[in-house]
Amino acid sequence: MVVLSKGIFKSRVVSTFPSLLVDEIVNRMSHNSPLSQEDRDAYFKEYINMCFGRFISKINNEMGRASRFVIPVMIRGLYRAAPDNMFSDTAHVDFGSEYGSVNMTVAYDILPEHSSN
Amino acid sequence: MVLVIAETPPERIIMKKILIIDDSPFIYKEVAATLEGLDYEIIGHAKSGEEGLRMVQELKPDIITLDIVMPGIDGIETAEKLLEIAPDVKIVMLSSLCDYDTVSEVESIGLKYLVSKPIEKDVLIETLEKVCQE
Repeated sequence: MVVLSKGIFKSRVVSTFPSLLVDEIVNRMSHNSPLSQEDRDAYFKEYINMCFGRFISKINNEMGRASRFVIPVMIRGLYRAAPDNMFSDTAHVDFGSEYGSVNMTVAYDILPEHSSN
Repeated sequence: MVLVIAETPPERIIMKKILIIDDSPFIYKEVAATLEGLDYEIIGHAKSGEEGLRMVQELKPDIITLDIVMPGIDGIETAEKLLEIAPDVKIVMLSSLCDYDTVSEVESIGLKYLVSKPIEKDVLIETLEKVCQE
């Protein structure tokens, strides 16, 4: 899953999820109702949307200015990100779960106040 | 013998018509499930701001629930356009963005309600009740 933000906190967040975990999240969101694959993807994107919205909101409140993010992009299989040297800082976070591990890389820049992108 | 039972006509309930503008089928189903059995009728689901602007003129909803982060024009811009073409419609923003700056931006275009995602059912119902009392 790739999420981009713009504004004072410019970032590219690439997170990888095991498919078992994605299935579990979607099944809980849908209360195990049958869904098309398109809807399953849309449900998971909304899950990421809600997580990332809360994340950006916290950053916005800390910084006192707004950043915005664009619709998450879901990619199946391998993803080769553009080099992280487009951003000045990078953070990696790994989470373990009974369904496999989630890896998250946040490449970011905190821009001066007068910048908009 | 014919027994005639005189019935008092039931009080007519006026259902408030709701249009959901949100690209997520999950949010549409969550809102629909939350409002099931209450005095609201969901009359449509637009998956983008552009589609919502077209549907509002055709369906004439009383209330719109509106996402902020959407493909195409975002919820803030959509709300501004909605207020131009349907100034009487009540708009409730639904968003995972709930920071101070977003709240001020929502207020600056004349809107009063922002419900955060994930939706808490009680909060959504209470907000809609307030909207209906205006």
